Amino acid sequence: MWLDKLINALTSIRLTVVCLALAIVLVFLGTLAQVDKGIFIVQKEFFQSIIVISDLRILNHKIPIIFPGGYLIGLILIINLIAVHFKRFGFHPQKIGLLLTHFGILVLLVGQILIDHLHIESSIRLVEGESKNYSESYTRCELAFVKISDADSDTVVSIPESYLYKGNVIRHPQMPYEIRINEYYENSQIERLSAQSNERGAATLGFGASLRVIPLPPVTTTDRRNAPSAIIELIGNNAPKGTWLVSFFIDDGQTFRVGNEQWQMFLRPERYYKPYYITLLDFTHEKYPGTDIPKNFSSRVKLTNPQTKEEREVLIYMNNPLRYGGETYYQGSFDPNDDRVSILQVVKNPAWTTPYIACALVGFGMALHFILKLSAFVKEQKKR
Amino acid sequence: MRLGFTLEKMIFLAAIALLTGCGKEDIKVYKIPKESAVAKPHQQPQEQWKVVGDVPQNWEEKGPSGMRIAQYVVRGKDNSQGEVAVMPMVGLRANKNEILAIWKGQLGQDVVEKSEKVKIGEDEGELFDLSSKQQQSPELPQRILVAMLIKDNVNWFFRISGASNLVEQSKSDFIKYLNSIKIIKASQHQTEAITKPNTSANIPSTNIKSDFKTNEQIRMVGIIASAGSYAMFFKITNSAVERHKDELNLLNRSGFKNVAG
Amino acid sequence: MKKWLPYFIVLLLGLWVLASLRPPATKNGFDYANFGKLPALLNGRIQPLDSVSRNCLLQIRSKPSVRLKNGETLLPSEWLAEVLFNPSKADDREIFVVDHPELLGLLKLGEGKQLVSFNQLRPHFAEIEKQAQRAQQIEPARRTTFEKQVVKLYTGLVVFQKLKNSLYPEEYGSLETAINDLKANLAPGLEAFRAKESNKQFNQDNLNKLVQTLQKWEVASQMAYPGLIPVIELKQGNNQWLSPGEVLNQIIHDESLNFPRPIDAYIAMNVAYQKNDPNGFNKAVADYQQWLATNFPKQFSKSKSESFFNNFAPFAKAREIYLLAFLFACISLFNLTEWLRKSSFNILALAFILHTFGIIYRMTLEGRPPVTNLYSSAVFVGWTIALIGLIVERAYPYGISVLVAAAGGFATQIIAHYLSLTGDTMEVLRAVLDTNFWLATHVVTIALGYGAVYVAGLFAIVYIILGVFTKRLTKEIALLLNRIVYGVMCFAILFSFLGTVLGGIWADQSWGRFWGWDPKENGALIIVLWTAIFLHCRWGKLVSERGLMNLAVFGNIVTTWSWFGVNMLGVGLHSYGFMDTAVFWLILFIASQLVIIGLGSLPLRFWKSHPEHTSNKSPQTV
Repeated sequence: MWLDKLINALTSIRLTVVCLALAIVLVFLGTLAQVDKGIFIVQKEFFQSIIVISDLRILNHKIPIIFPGGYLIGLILIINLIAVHFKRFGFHPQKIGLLLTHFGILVLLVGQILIDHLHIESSIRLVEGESKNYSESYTRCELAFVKISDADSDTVVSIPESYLYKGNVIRHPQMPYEIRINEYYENSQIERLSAQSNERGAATLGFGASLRVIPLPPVTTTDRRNAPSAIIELIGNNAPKGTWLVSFFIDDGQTFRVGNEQWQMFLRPERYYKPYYITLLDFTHEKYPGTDIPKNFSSRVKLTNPQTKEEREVLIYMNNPLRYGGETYYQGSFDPNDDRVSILQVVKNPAWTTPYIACALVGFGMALHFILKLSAFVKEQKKR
Repeated sequence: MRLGFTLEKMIFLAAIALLTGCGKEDIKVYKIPKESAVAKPHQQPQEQWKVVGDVPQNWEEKGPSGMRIAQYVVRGKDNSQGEVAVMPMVGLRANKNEILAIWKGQLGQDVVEKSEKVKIGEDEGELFDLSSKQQQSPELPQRILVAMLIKDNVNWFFRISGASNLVEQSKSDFIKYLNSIKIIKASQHQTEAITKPNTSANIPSTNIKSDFKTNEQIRMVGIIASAGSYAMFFKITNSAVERHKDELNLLNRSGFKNVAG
Repeated sequence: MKKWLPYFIVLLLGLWVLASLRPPATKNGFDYANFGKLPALLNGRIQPLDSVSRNCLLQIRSKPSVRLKNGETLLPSEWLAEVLFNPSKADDREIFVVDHPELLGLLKLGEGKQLVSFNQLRPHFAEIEKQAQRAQQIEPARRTTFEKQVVKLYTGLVVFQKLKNSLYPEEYGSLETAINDLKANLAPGLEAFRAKESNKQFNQDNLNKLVQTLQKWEVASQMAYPGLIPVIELKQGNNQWLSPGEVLNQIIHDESLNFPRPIDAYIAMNVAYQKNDPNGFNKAVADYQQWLATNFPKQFSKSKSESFFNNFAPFAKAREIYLLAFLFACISLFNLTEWLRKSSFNILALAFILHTFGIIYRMTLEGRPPVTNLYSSAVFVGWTIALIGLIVERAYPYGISVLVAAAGGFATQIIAHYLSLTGDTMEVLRAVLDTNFWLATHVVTIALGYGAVYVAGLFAIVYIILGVFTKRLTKEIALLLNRIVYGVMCFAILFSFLGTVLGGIWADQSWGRFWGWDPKENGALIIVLWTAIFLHCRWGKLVSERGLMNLAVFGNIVTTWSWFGVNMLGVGLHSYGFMDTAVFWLILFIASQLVIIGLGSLPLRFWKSHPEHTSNKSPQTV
């Protein structure tokens, strides 16, 4: 019967070997692909997918690739692992090492899938003396509308970049107007129109009146990010009539009035606000004497939490992060043009313990298994 | 039964894995404390100063942006336009010839250069008159008057540029402006400037992201970097040599040039 | 008699090794070796002038030595002394290598590889600079070979130029002249300057002269490459190693005019060198060393130790001895006499001792765990292979393990040698790598894993070669090899997995991400997966014994990819990088392993010996 055949297949060690082999090929192809596409895209296309539909560029030839994706292989391995164990091993004392090992691998695989979805990386760029209560995404941008007319706080409506495409109309109950996207550029450059120019600005209202947008192709390397821009229009009885230019390059919010509310608009890296402030007190960048080779970076920061009334100084340096509020702050980087700037890497990773637990299990299990086998072997040799 | 249990588990896991991959992103709404509650440091030197002077009627104030702490649009009689800019630079590492070269570059090939002393406020500076016979391109000026002053370790540049006759008409106004200059050090950082709402269509200032430099800044850096084969070794030492800056040209080219003769 | 041969041979070798501990001979009476022990600061670390010289020569001509057209060789420190103390003569030495046809054409140098001097290249400087600066704008991986060669030549010329100006501005010709010129102009010049500042009458001429002199020193101090002069108790409080130009800046600023002792020492050396006075030169060096021993004992002692290490070169010696052990082991496999096997084992042991000595010495010199860069990883992997081989040979004295260990040791030393030509092998570590804990755990474990996979692969190669080409693959030997490969593979998966995990934990501690799908991480993962496949195939009895051997040989390919291949990604995929030496050798190696796997896959009837094959024949006597 086909069910029996399926179960036989799922519980066979041959399936394990096939999956491992497929995994090797997948990892290898992904490694080659990331040379041109960058790790971020390859992660999505190759390792966090069910099927890989992509291409590989070798010696200026583009080769199409269709292959089982990381999630698919991982899923089958998980099923296979559990199935084989139930069928073959049970809880034999001799096999306890193997059991631990495979259980550890299970935890590792499931943990990695969890991490993929729960893990958020962002950064905080601070000049000495500056305080911030938010971090910014490396890759994602948001179209943010901030109501600044309330007395006690500002309300942020954060629209993910995936909503920004030509022709889309965005509505939300918190906003007394609608937003139409007239143009969207995934990557762009902005130039200021010269005072003598007659050229029309990119938009009719706001800063866009004196600026020009130049669309650019999206970036492919990991050391650059896309700088999006968009031309938008506000629709509604009380909203100002005209078009606005929002852009990654425009730091200041552009303000408008709707009824008795005042709002500002931004197109900026996605922000993750926190209930506390980080202030950079001092940033040191040690280099090896007589060279430009970095020896050590460290940031002395002050953590201020108005809610818990916490206020303390912490030193963050390489291999020594600050863990606070469910997030970890690492000394990430610096600005080569400005010695007073420190860039902290912020990581939110609730499932961070899974690899540690998994690896302890696997390491211990493997060691146990091999020691048991070795001692049995030695005993057998001695008998001879 | 063992196998049945396994089957269920498999389906369950499969469901998790597949479902976790899907879902459209939501619009998020949240409240944050007022931005003006956050302290911002002295980020750029130009925000520490303010420059006031006698500004003639036909100069329209534009408001600071980027490196320029003061800007004006000059409206000429024949509807031509020019601009005036005031730029302080801290820690500048090139001499004035290098900097003049940038503006000369904007003018093109045949540049006529004249210089004279001029009073800038209470100090004496140097006024350079650069003009080219032909305009390079419509966007670029034809004549530039730039006054340079070094005060308190800051290099100040006051510049007016535009078409030849416009600059000629404005020259006396410009010199009067220079004579009346007062440089005020701002004692308090102005946070209001950042959060002040601006609803008018003629937006005077745009704070374009400073990471992505303006064209001028890039060219400035380029000239400094190219002035010496070993740019990375270039550092001004606090030696007696520094005190004789006007007698020395510290941008000696490397031994290569000497050797090759 | 034969019983003593194994020990006698090793004794001879040992004496040969010890003989090289003798201090090197002087040349024309000049003790350059002693000169080479003097410390200086270069690239962020204190190193002896001997190392400075070698590192500069590597940049100039890709070899840490100077061999002239007439066959004469200059010691590294000898060459450096000439550059510092007699720059005009150094300008005439033909040390620059040009062999790219287009470059030769551009420089009008005729055909074939040419050795040229600085002076001979002088007329072409502008052109070389133009070409090199254009090429430097292009990403290194995408440069053509011409562009790479011209950049290399340009860099070499720049380094040479910098060295010449490290002690004093080149145009003076000697440190003594330079200092005297300064002293002559300083007092009158300062007087003129002070007069000018107080608006009195001053001598413009004197001021100009001083300004010009200072200008020359300013330029030289910016060009200086190694910081030669240690200065104690500067305002900043730290000891620094500066060029004389920078020292002079400090002196003039303080207007103290106290020249530190080292400057006098170098003047003395300079004078003696130019007068061709070896005794004076040696004395100046010795006196300075005495001063260093009192005032900078730590730096001087480190400098001496490194200089000794450079000259003793234990790894180079180990390489030769590994080769010898390999030859002995080969012969012993066919001759089968016990004394040959024992000799090969002893020779291997001697090589291993030298190898270990070298690793430990480097660790104490750098103050770091054994593996810090690609070069030291190669040395350590070789050590792992040799260690496992020695242990297995003790357990199963058939001589096969010696063969494996010696082959592995020799091959890795060759690789290490070529890696050493790419730069300073003891270079300082960048910020994120500056953690001894993770270097000692993650990196060492991974290297152990690499070594183990190679050992298993090498044993598998022996299995296939013995079986296909010789009559030696008996049932006993086959079973033995099977067991060894299995055991070593278990060791390999344990350490590869552990090493990979430790790397993940390090990444998590450093930037919050356990696994980033980085090429190096992926390479390590592939090794773990491959060893897992091997073990699962064995346990599930999915392949025959020959199949397992083939899998083990493939493990060599997988490990080499992870170790070297991932570093060549940028190069390999963007250009027809076959002419790029490293890529070429990688592909050659992979091809060789595939050939062996091909042999291993041959049907049994093509094998000269195999347990299943020879089951109906009488077993060969071992």
